[in-house]
Amino acid sequence: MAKNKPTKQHYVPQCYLREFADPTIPPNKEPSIWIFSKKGKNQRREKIKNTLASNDLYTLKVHGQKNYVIEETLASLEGKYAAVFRTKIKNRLPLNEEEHIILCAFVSVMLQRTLRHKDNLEQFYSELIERAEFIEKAHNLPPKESVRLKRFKQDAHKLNVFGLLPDITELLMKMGVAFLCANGSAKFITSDDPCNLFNPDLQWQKFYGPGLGQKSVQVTLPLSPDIMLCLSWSNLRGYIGLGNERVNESNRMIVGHCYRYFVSHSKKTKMIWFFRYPLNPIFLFKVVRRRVRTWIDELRFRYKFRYVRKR
Amino acid sequence: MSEKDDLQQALMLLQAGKRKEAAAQLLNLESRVKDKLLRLQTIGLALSVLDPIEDNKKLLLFSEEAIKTSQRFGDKDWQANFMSRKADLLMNKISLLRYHQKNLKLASGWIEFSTEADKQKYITLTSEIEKCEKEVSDLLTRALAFAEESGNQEALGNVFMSKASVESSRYMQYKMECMVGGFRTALWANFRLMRYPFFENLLIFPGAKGRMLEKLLDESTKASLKAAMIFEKLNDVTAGYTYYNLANHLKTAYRFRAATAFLKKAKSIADKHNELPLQNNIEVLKGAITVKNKDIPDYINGEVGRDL
Repeated sequence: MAKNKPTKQHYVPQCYLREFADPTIPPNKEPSIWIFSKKGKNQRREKIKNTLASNDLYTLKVHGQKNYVIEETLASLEGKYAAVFRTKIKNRLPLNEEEHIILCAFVSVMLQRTLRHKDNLEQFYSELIERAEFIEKAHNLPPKESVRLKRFKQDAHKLNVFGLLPDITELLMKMGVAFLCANGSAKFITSDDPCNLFNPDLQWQKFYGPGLGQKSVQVTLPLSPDIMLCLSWSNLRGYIGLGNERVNESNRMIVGHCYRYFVSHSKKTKMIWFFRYPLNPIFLFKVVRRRVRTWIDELRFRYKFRYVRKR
Repeated sequence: MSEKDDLQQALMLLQAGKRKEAAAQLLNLESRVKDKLLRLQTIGLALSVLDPIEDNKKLLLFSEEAIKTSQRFGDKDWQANFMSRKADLLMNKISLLRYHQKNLKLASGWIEFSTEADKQKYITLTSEIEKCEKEVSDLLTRALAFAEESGNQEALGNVFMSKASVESSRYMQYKMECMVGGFRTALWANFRLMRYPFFENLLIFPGAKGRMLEKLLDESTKASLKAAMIFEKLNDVTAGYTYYNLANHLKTAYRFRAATAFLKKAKSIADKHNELPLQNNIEVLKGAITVKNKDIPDYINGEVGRDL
C-alpha cells in the first residue's frame, strides 16, 4: 500500500518533461532528459522520474496524517493536459473551449507550483515572521501572531497552487493564444521554472515586475522542443512558424529566467543562450545609450550633492 | 419651434462649423419627425453630419430607411443618392470587419488557428465581408443606373463621388491585405521612403499586387474627376469638396505632387464660392501635405485626429 503513495512529487510534471526526452534513447528504456546548471555547466542525463522532484512538496498534514489530495488533483490536470497536447497541439489543430480551459489551468498551475515560487513565498513569510517576533518581543506580547504566521508558512505554497487557479485561469482565457513552432533545426529548451512572464516595456527598469494585467505582458511556456506557448494581450494568435534565430532568442530568455537548471532534449548547447543581451545591434545600441545616460546622471548627482556628508 | 425650423437650424449650425451641435439637433429631430419628406431631408443632412465611423450603424439604418421612402415616392434621384451613400457607409463597416479579420491571422509565419473560437470568428467575419462587398457593388451599379435614367446631373455627381470614396477604401483595404508581414512589410513600416510610389511599386508590392493597387487608385481618381467635372459644369461648390477629397486620398497614397495640384483646384473653387469650411479644411490638408504624412495620429494607441 505504502508503495502507491505519491511521496516523490515533481515541481515540473513528468508528462511535460517527457516531451523533452532525449530521442536517442530507445523506447524500451526509461525516458531521460539533459539537465544543465544555469551557467551551462554540470550537464548530465537524468531519468525523468527522478528529476525536478522533491519529497512531499504538495503533501498536506491533516490531523497528523499525510494527505495527497493536491498531488492527485495536479496529476488529474496533467493527464488532461497531456491528452490535449497529444491530440491537438502536437498536430497543430485548433483547441475547443474545454481544451482551451485545460491549457490555461495547466499554465496557471505551472506559474505557481515551481520551487522558485515556493522559495519566494516562504521567504516573504519568513520576513513577516521575523518582523512579528520582533514586535512581540519589544511589547512583551505572547508569540501569538508569529505562531499563526508560521502555521500559514507551512502550507502557503501548497494551498496557493489552487487558491489562485480560478482567477488566473479566467484571466489567461481572455488572452490571445499563440503556439510558436520551431521550423528550422533549432529546438526549444525548458527549465525548472518553465512558465515565464515578460513585459518588454519594463525591461529598462528594476522597480516594477511583470503582471498578467499589463498591456504588453507575454506568458511563455515551452511545451515541447518544437512548440512554445505564448499568451499575450496583443494580436499574436494561431500556430506560427519561427526561424532558428527566433528560437535561439527564446532559448536565451529561458536560460536567463531559469531558477537553477535548464533542460534540453540533447546535450548540445549554444553560446547565444548564455548571453545577457540579444545579439541585435539596435537593442545593444539602446543598452549602451542607457548605460551612458545612467552614468552621466550618477556623475551629475554626485557633483550636485558633493558637500553632503556620507553617513 | 417647428420641425422645419429645427432642420434649418441644424443646417445653419453645420455651415457655422458646429458639427457636434448639428448632429445632436438632427438626432433629436429624427426621433420625432413623422412627415416623410421632412424625414428624408433630415436623414439626407444627418448622413453628411454624423460620424461615419462612430455612428456607422445608425447611419446605415437611416440610409436604408431613406432608400425605401424615396422608392415609395418614386424619386430616382434621391434613391440613387441614398444608395451610393449606403455603399460608402458599408465600406466603413467592411474596413472595420477586415481589421478584426486581419488581426486573427496577423503573424507572418501563420500556420493555423489556435482555438476553434478564433476559427469560427474568422469564418463569420469573412462571410459578412463578402456579403457587404456584394451589397456595395450592387448598390453602386443600381445607383448609377438610376442617376443616369433620371438625367439629374447633381445626383450623378453624388454617385460618382461615393464611387470614388468606395474605390479609395478598397485601395486602402487591399494595401492592408497585402501587408502580410516579413521583410517587405518591415521595410514599409520602418522607412517612409519605401511608401513613395516608385519604391512601393519596385520593392514592396512588385507585380500583380502593385498593378492592382494602381488600378484601384486610378478608378478612385477617375470617379472623383468625373464627379468634379459634373459639379463644375453645374457651378456647384461640391466640385471643390470633390477635389479636396481626391487630394486627401492621394496624400494618403503618398502622391503629394498630384495631391497639391488637386488641392489648388479645390482652393480656387472654394475662393470663388467663398466657402469658409472648405477653405479651412484646405489649409489643414496643405499642412499635412507639407509635413508628408508625418503628423498622422497613432489611432491604435488611442490618439485622435483633428477631425474627431
